[in-house]
Amino acid sequence: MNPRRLLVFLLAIIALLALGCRKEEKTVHSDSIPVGIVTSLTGSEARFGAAQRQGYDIALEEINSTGVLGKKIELIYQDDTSKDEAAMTAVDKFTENPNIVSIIGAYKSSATFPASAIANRYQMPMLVPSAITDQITSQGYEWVFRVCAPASRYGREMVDFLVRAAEVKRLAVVYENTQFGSSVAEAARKQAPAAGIELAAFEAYDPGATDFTPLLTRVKSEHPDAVLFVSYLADATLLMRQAKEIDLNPKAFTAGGAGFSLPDFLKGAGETAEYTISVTQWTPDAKWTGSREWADRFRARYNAEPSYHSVQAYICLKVLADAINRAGSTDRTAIRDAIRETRMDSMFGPVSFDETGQNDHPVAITQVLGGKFVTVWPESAAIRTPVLPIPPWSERSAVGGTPQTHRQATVSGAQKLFQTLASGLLTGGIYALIGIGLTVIFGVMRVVNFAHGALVMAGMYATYFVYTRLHIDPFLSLVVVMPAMFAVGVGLQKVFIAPVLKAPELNQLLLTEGLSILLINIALLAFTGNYLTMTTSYAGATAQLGGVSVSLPQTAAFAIALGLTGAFYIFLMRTDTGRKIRATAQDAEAAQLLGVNIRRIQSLTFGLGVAAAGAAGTLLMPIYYRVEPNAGSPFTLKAFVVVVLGGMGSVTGALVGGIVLGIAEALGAVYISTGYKDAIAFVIFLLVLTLRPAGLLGKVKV
Amino acid sequence: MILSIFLLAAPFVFETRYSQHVLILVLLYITLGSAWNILGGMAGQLSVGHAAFFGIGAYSAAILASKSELSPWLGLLLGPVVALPVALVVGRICFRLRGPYFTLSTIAASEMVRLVALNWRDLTGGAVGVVLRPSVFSGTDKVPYYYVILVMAVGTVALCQWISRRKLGYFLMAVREDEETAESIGIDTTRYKLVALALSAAITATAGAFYANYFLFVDPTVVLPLALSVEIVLIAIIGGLGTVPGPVLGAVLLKLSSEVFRNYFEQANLLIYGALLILVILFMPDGLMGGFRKILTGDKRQVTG
Repeated sequence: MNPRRLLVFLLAIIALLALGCRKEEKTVHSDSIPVGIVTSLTGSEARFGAAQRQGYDIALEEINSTGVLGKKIELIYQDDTSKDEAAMTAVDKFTENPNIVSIIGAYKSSATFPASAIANRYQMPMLVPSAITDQITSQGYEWVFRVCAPASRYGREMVDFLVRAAEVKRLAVVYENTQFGSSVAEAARKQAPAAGIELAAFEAYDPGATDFTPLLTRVKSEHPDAVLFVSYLADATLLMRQAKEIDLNPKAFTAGGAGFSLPDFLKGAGETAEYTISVTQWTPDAKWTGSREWADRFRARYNAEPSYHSVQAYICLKVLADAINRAGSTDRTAIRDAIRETRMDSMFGPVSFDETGQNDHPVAITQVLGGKFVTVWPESAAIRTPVLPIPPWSERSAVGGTPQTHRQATVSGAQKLFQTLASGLLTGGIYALIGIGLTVIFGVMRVVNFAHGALVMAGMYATYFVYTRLHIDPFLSLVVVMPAMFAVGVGLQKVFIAPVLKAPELNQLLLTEGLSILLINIALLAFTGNYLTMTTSYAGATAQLGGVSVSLPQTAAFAIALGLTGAFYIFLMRTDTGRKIRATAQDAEAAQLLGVNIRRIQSLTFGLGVAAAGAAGTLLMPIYYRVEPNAGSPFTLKAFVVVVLGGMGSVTGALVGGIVLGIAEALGAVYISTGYKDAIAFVIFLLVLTLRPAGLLGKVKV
Repeated sequence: MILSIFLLAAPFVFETRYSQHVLILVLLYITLGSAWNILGGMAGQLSVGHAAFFGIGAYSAAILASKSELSPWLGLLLGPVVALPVALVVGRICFRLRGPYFTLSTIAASEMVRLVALNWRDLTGGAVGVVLRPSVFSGTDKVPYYYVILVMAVGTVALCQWISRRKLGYFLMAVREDEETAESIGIDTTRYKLVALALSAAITATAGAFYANYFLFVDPTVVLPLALSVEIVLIAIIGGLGTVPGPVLGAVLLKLSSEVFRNYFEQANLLIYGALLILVILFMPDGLMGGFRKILTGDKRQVTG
């Protein structure tokens, strides 16, 4: 082995690839003024990015019809793929490009805040359209200017509204644990006491958390007068649906903008969106000059309702063009000084920046009435008065279930417990199904399948498409999805797994991990990172049993999961093939000697395991109604916890393990803390592995 | 010799901030991959939870900056100091397990650290994270950072080389190859696993502290995600598990190609990772180093087994 040759090889690679890196400067027309735009064109917040782009496009057209300093503005887009680090890199690259005169962006607070630090450090004027975290304008940055109102303003207006219009005394705040969510929640928390509002609950959740039921149960048991949600789109939809499912009935559902103010929210949440109240930075019926006309132009051009996210983007570009004109040059410092002097009247209201770079923009409050956003506060901007208190769920929807004759005033301790146990049990059934797939694969092939979560995700996507394209109900689509997943499993086994069955465990592990990465990224490429949502006619149907709200679709899913588990068990115990599988699991060589075709059994088993995972995915859809490529990832680890709890290789063990995990998680989330809910699975995992490695029921040695 | 000159002169050859950034990233991952290799490659304990130590290091620096007047560069010392006890506790629990169970337990431990960082708002700022102000160096010039990480990377690789030639290296190999037999001939496998873990964790934490000082922004998604742990493992594996040049090769190849792909074909970046991993396992289970060895010497034996 010649180290020198290796070195040369290494250097050659470095040189080649580094040359690839060099080609950074894109050719820029000399008669244009390039402006850098950072936004989320793909990824989880792509809807917002698209809305921003629409705003930029309208502004660009207007500006370039007359031009700026005799030239046209050229927008150079960088997609941050909804990732904060990418936004920072994008800004960094822009600042290094001497042609770029200024930048606008990004979308999310968590991306914009660190990115603004970079812009300021390298002395690049930056306009912030939509990130509301107070920190952006509290750092003393001289080069960063924000047109939208910050989180503290949200807090102030919302608290004001709650006290004066809604007479709220107890407020529950539920927010996603991100820069955006925290800043609005903190703003509310700081300003509530002065207004005489007591915080009944202050709950952070991990964004993308699939089940809000324990969290909402906890909130419900605190009897808040109003609930404040701070979320982006996907969570907003799910929160409202599940709020209905557990029959949470505050005087008002309020929200901190973002997800709750998108037209997509109205579509996704359907009738559960009605009466929700949200902070907004702008509505089409706003009383500023040109607002309505702008909204009409938007509708005509895009055939869609405009949201304030588009307006903010539009305004930033207009402000920038105005500043460049006044600066009379494309020098960054001149532009910055010109931005400082901005005094503009617009359809977004008057724009000017104080010494911290903040525009004094008022926020309004809207309520969804008749499926539309209607401004209801403050009085000077309101189209009508708000509907308060909002009617309880039972008086609203016509979807099945036992109606309540009166709004329940209190939730007893027993009810809270049973509600928690119920949701834990139902979730546990799904966990069990996922665990069964995994345990069967391990039992027979001793392969630890790290791709299991990704396969659940595959089942979810399959169900989504079967439902939206073929219009087959998710529950019925099991008949289609399960055999399909079985075939996929057999295929995967033959191509990827079989070759490594004799290889060291390490390799098997890595292979399945590689498979997982592959599957997730194929999904990302094929379907993008956006959430795909669906809804069924029976979505949100609940039954009331003594004050405990039970979701009917979830119960059906649980029943089916149980049924499948039972079928599996019978198959393994009573049928010939099942016996062969068990024989192979016990002792593959002996089974082979007795005439069992090991290869076929292995393929069959993997196929079954994948079919089980796919079935779990199918059953998850009528409960959570959404899928994105990373949706399956948390389930891989949880599947392992289930299997370890029940004992590797044991089907009944997986059932018990799943239910135990589901209930433990629900209890932990409701009684201890929502933020650490996932930690419960990990703690159980470690405890069982160290204290009872064979699992609660199992006998297989670790 | 040529390599040393190249390494020392590199930031002046590659003058754009972006390419300097890439160089720094490559060196950072060389450090991380080599550090991981001590535990994963040499001792054979596949930890997919190393992001925890990276995060501890990064947060040590960040918290120093936000809560005190001390320089966050002290985080390079504080990080390992905090990471060590955590590593030992985690090690005591997880080393009782073997194979995939060990791996899973490291993932569980790492995720718990992430959840703590996410929820302990008073200490870590929670999801909001910590923004650091540039200190000591002007903060706009990347060149000093390059030299710091160069020293770290070279130091770590040298350490790996040193270990592999000494008794410690052989003991670790014994643990990796057949732990039960090693025990039976009197090697205290737990002790050596802990030593490997301690070294590995300390270096990773120091690298984390460096990153905090370089990137000037720390939050749970940046320094503690599972994806980071996986990436570290991938680099060591694809380069060649247990070999000294392996992580170097892996880091160079993967990081450079990832940046190239990001410029041309953004989304396929991770897809390539997954495909590469599968291909390597199926056809080159000893990683690229093993592949080279086979090509250059015609030796078909497998190293890990």
